[in-house]
Amino acid sequence: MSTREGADIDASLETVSRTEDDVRLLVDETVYSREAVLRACYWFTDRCYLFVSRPGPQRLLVSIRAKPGGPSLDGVAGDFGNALLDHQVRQEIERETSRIRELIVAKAFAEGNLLDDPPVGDDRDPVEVTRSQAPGNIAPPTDEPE
Amino acid sequence: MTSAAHAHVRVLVHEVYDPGSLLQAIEDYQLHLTVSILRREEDRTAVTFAAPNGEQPAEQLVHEFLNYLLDLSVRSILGAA
Repeated sequence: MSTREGADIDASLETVSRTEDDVRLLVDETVYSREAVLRACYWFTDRCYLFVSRPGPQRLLVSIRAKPGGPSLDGVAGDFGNALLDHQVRQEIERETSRIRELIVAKAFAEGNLLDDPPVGDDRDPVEVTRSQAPGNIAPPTDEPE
Repeated sequence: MTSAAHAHVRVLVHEVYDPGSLLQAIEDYQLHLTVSILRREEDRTAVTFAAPNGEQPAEQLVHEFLNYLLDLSVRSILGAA
C-alpha cells in the first residue's frame, strides 16, 4: 500500500485519501482482480463499513470507514491490503494448480473404483459361464468376498 | 463536496452490487430505512436513503445497509465466499 506522498508509488493499491472517518483505497484491477476485491470486502464487513465504486476503467475505489467501537481505521486498512493480496495469491495458485488437482482427484476416485458405474451386462467369458452352469459342474472360484 | 440534499445518494455499480440483492436488501431494511431508486442504468443504479418518517437517516444505518447489501451481492456474484 502506498500514499500520494510516497516517492515511488505502488499504484496497484494506493491510498487516495485519509480523513478522520474513512480511508479510500484505489485498486488497480490489472493487479488485483474484482473477485479478490469482493472476497476481501466480504471478510471485512464485520470489522468496518465498506463501499466499492468504480471511478474509471480498471480501477475500483474501496472506501473503508471504522465502525463505532471497532478496530482502528489504520489497522483495518492495513489488514484489508493484506487480505486483498492473500485472496489474489490464492486465486492465482488455484488457477495454476487446477489441472493437477483435477488429476489427483480423478486418480483417487479411480483407485477407489468410485468414479464409474459398474459396466452394463456381464463381462465374464460366456464360455466359462455356460460351463459353470452345466449340471454337475462346480462354479469356478471368484475374487468377490462371500 | 456533496450537498446535504445529496449526502445519501449512492451509485451502485452492478459488477459489485447485484441488482437482485439490492431489491432483497431494500425489502429486508424497509422497516428501518427507505431506499428509493433514483435511476437505473445498464451497469449501475443510483439510490437515495431516507428514514421511514421521511427525514435524513442515521449515517450508521446507511452504512449498515450498504454492508448488508455488499454481503448479499458477493454471495450472489461469487457464491459462498
